[in-house]
Amino acid sequence: MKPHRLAFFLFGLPALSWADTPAIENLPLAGFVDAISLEQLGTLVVTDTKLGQAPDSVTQQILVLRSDEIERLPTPNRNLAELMRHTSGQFVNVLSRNDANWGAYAGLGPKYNSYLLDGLPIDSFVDAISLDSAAIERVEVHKGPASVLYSGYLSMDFVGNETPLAGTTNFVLRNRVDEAQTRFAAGAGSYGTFAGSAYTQGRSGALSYMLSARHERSDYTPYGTRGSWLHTVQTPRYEKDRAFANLSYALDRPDHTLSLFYQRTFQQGNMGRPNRDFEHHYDTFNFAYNNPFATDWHLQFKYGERRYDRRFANDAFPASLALVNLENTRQTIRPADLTFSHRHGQDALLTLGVDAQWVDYATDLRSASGATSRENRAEARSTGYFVQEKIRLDEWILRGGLRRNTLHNDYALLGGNTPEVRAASWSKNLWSLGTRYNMHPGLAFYANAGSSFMAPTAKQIGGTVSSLQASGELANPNLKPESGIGRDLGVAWQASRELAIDLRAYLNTIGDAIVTNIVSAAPSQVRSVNAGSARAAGYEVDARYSPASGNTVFANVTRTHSRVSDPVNAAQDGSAIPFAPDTLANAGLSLRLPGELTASAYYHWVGRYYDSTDRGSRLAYGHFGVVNARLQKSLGRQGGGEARLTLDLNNLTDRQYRMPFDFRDPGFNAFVGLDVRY
Amino acid sequence: MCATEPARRRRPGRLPALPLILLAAGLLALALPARAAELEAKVKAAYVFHVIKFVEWPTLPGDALTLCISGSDAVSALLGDLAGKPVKERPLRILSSLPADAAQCQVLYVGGPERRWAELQPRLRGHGVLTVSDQDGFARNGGIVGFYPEAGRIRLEINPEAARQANLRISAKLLELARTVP
Repeated sequence: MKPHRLAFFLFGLPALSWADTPAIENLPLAGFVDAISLEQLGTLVVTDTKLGQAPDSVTQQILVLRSDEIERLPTPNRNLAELMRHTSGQFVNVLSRNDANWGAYAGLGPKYNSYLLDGLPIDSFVDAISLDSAAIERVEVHKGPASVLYSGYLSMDFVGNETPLAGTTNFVLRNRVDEAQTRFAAGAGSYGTFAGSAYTQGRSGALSYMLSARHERSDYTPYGTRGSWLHTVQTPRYEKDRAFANLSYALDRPDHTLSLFYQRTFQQGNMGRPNRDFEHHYDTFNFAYNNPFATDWHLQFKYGERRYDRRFANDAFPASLALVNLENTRQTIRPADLTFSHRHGQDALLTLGVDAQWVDYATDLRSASGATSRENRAEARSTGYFVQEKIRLDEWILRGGLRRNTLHNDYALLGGNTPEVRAASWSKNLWSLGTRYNMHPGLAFYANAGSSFMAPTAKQIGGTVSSLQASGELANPNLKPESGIGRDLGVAWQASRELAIDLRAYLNTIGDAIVTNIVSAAPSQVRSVNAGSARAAGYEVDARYSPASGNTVFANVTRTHSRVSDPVNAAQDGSAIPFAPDTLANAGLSLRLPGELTASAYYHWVGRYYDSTDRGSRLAYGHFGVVNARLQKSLGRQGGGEARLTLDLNNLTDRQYRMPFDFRDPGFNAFVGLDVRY
Repeated sequence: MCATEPARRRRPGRLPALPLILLAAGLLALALPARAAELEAKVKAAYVFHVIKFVEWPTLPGDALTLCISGSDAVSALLGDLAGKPVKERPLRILSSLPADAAQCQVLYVGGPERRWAELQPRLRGHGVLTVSDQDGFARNGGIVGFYPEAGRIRLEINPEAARQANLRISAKLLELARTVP
């Protein structure tokens, strides 16, 4: 192979060289093979088919963030969602260090962008708060309508179900350790923040293990608008403790494995008022069994548990600061997945299987006097059967798949009342198609389309009113799920050895959109109906320029036009989809400087967005830019060990921008940390 | 015009910036292919090492796993650096030539021209030897693991039938990463 043909291969490893200075590629071969895994050499992605595939055989655009890049990205709110903040199309809107990401993707609201943990669904609102990035080997941001291989997430909390119509993001766990390593880190920053962590990984025979513990506490800062329900009269504070164990055991061959991941997160604090305490427990468990049981067949079985136990204290603010009640929300979701993959023909792959989820959801209220009342009791279960075929015909990749999804909800108690409707079921057939044409090694075109659906929330179906005179939501047993179709097409172009450009256009439509209408002002009663439709069309442009190994400049812009159609309600007919900004833009650079110093800076611009479809009452947000920077300096190396200093400077221009629900970004903050690894 | 003349006048002893930048860029452009070739060879050598972990032999000697090298190229020149590295729970032994008894080798890296591979093939029949080479179309010509360039990356090409004939089992993990060829 002639050197000039592969000259730009030199720039194929920029992400690796960012993290470690001197760059990995400068290591002698014996060190190089320890520092780089087979997966990193091969650049595989798994989200498309549940088996590793070269990106050029994937019809969707998949953006991969590797562990070394994850270490480099700023996460001011310690939320995994922030890792994607600077990728095109992603609106990451983490409300505070203790709250969820209320973002959007591809012009649709947060419910239409799902998250996976190693292929099993997790909550895109809540789990990103608790999961530890040290467990993540890489993040695959799968753009466009996800294949039929993944179901929605049956959460009954927050806004209800989540579905992968606009895209899905897979947090892939580390599953094999080649070299032992131990890391200790400690740091301090703004708002009296102190953090410490210990991590070790190693291998004993066929067992790979990764263990981690992390603690952070902070005298936080007011993060709500003055006078709102988030108003503070004292300094808010929080503590967060996280520990995980990740074990992988090779039974008789490297690819015949059992893997276990368990993380427990405990978060407590107060929101800046004497009776606004919170205490949350999160348990996340993943089990995986992988077995290529014949030459061309591969079996995967996965099972998970996601348990939340969240307790909030509510006070009577603004009337008084007295305790009103304690709110307790418990939810357990158990996803399972059995998938068979069959390689056949010339690079063809058949994937088929079944998945299921079981959900228990309960909320209670305990009054200031200690009396406990049950508020909500609901259960849900779903079953999905799926099949997908992907074939390669010379330079063409063709993909098609079908899914049959059945969903059943039982509502025992809603809003403290026995609901009018006690159960609801839906069955839907979904489809997905995609194609990619690799015109030459540096230029590819792709197009995808797929359908999805979103079940109504429990309260929309069952209602919460106990009598005709009571306020609340009226039942609507005939409510249908929202149906969506996502479409995208794009081009991926390696314009030169330094420059990569991606262009993607998308059109997402939602039919039978569920809108909530006012039925009566006194008593205050609403009813949700299938009254409208929604449409989001837009494009993303990504450019990445790598002028020399270890240095990278990138920029991307996303423009979206969204529109809700509701002929029944003129106030929201024609308005924009909530939480979906019309413009998002990012620019950034990462430079390796003399003195083993790495500097990264990111600029993020958010255009206009709204918190509601109702033009009369909605509030406008956005139109701000934020600059984050990270400096990393190697303080010294000895043997295989290294000490590294990291300085994070977040929101450099001190933009205290408003967010929905009366949240406000606290502005400039800094953090300095020391990391020792050996 | 007269007013601008002094500004245009080059001050003695000061080197012009633009030619220097162009010179530096030229030197960089000359250096890049050499650097790329060097890194390309290192990546291929690393692939050889990692690929071994994902291949199963019917039996392996207890003392060491032997990687033999036949012919020379940029990759074979590097592989010697891996001597003694533990792989499959035994040290990697490097032999810089193919011994008379090919069964002593568990892995054979074939460097040099393609005709060499044609000469070697008969000697390997019946032995469980994992063959790897940087030669164009190696896997299509009866070898087991080859390389090919794609979008600026080095990728693997695997011939499962050749592996089966050598009584070797290729891990699914490896097949995920590779393009299979008949």
